[in-house]
Amino acid sequence: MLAEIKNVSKTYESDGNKISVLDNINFTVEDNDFICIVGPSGCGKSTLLRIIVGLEKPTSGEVLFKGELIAPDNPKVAMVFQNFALFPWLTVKENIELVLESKKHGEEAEKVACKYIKAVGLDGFERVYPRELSGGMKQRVGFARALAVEPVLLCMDEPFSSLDALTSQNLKDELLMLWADASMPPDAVIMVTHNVEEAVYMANRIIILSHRPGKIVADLKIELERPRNRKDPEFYRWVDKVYSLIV
Amino acid sequence: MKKGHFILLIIIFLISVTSAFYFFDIIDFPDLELLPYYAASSLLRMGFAYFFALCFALSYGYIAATNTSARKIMMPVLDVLQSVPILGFFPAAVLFFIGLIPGRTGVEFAAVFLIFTSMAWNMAFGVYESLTTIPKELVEAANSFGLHGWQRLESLTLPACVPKLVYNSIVSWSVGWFFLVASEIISAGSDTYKLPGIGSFLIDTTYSGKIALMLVGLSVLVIIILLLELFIWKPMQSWADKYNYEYAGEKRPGEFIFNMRIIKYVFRSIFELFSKVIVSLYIIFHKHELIKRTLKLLGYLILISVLAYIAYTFIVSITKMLHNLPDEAYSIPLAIAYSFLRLSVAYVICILWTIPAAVYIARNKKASSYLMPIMEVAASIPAIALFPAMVVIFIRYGSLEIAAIILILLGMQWYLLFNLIAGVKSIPKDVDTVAASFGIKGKLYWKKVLLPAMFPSFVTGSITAWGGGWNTLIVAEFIVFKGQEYHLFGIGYLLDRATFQSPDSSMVLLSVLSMAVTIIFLNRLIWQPMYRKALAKYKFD
Repeated sequence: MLAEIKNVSKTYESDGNKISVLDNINFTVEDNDFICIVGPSGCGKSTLLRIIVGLEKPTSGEVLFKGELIAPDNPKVAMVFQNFALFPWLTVKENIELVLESKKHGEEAEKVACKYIKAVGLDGFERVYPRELSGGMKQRVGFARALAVEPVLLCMDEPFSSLDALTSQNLKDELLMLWADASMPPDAVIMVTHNVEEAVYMANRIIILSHRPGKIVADLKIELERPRNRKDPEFYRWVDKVYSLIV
Repeated sequence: MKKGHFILLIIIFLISVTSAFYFFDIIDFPDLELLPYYAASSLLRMGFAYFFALCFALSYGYIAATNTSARKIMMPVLDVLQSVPILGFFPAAVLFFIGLIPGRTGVEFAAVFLIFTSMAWNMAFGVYESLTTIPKELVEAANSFGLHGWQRLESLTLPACVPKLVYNSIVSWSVGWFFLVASEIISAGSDTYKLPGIGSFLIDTTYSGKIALMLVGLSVLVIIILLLELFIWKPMQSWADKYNYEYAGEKRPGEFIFNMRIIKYVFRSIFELFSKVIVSLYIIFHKHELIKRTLKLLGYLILISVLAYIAYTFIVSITKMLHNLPDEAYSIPLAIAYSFLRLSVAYVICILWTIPAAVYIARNKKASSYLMPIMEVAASIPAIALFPAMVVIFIRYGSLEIAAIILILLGMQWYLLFNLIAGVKSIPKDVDTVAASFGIKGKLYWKKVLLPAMFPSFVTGSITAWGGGWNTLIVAEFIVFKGQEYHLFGIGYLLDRATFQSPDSSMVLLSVLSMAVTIIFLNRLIWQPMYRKALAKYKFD
């Protein structure tokens, strides 16, 4: 067992009104889980992810990572952001070296950075600034940065939703290849998405949240062979099933 | 024409005119001997003030942005400080610093302090805004990848401040020049407190009738300002673009010398070294819990005792004053009314010419391509530097009243003009297309499209213009020319006289306070409601 989400609830307060966003969420993350969290917009998916990585505190309940309370700067957990969150004043390589600085130094950090730049297919762009890259390439840097800290758990917040359809499809396939490669870091992935097809295509486990306040409606194991085929009728049966549970 | 070429042209022109003066024996070399010294003193004052302003802005902005409970006090304080006419405090500051350090050193301190106050507030606002508008995801990335302490400051906090800090530094310097010249001119009214500098050089040469020499001094001042623009601010701006979130890829049009690597490198290292020193000091202090706690306690103690001291002296002097009101005190309301009238006249003239001019410039690409650089250079010359020359002309051929109103006009107009141009340019293309396609033209177009669109920037421009106007007033109402005193009745006159002519600290305090109260009152009663209305109703999003 990698991580444990126990009785997590979250309420926000605005102008004296309490808005409940998440209501008593419980699940565990095991080795080799590729979990997609799906749900209607505003159901608190992103909030849940931020609580899991420790960026936000739950109102009640707790998140344990390897038996200990999660801290936001836990080096074994890495995050990929929807809008990339790259430092615009640092080059591709500097962006990656930055997150390694506290653990590795000088040449070692450089070696690791180059390894992951290559892994996401960005070799040759080391000295380029993020603003000179296309959206897809920016997100590749986001992946490389997250992988470079060699995390046990990789958390992704709608990583493909600010990319165009073609780019995001390519990137998804590449990410799945990295995931299949046993020598690559994360032991488990949690991804938030509003795209059901994307979830069925990538995950081996889908957690469906209800409309606000978010509650777990279903926790499905996706037993489809990889690589998955979008035109496969079986694939569609899964998509329909997830859809029917959301609505 | 590119602005850089234009600036270079002006510099060459000024240098050749100056040397022509010299070769045709219009000016003597001995008179010029001291000019480099004067220029250096002025520049040094600016440099010191800027250094302190930068330190202040970084620490004040940082604390206000990161400490939510401190922010509730710090931001309103900054807001009030920003809306108060700083020049009014110069006489008070002179009296205060002379009390601490007698003689010229005290006046020096007062001048640097005055320039500091003209520079610091908007830079502190810049730091605060930069730090509070860092994209949320970037902060989360820094948190989740464990960027702490020095590393976080170096990679996130400081870079985030760069664009606004550079931009506001440029504004601060141009305001600073105004205050530098003003403080030198004001203090030149008395022999004992005179500050050597470009401003006093202008006044001295004018009053001794050496007009050619005065022109040389003026051109030296302009050359210094333009050189700084060319060799410091332009490269700094292009460097700052690197730290801008929105500036997507496109680079500023390369202008020959501005992109020289060495210049960029030198200023970059200065800036980085400087901020590193401040920040590492800050971190060292905050590393140890004990030091941190004692510092915090010490800080509170100092803050409370300073506040208590200020409140105490304030109450004491106020009660003293009320018991023993100087006779002149009763003329203060009338003086403020006179000054207000003077400002209103200048303001109306301002509006009358800037609105059509702004529409013309913003709508006419060709005209704006050569008018804008000219206007920008003209605006960068502190209007106050022209005052000595104006006094000479108008005392002979008119009255000081006209000179004062023209000076106030010069101090006001650029704020209004540049804001209005930005306002016209903010009209979205769609709106114009719709207006054109439905045949909305002429009077109707002005009434329904142009004027409403300009309203928000008109209000912002007016607020800054009135601020500039009140400051100019202090200089414009009182002048000593060839040993003879000329004055216009008004609050600026009362202030200057109470400082330099017949020193009377309670009169200074009273005048400053009533002026500050008037201005804050006007801001709260007229400008702020207008600004809210403008934003709510007339803003294009």
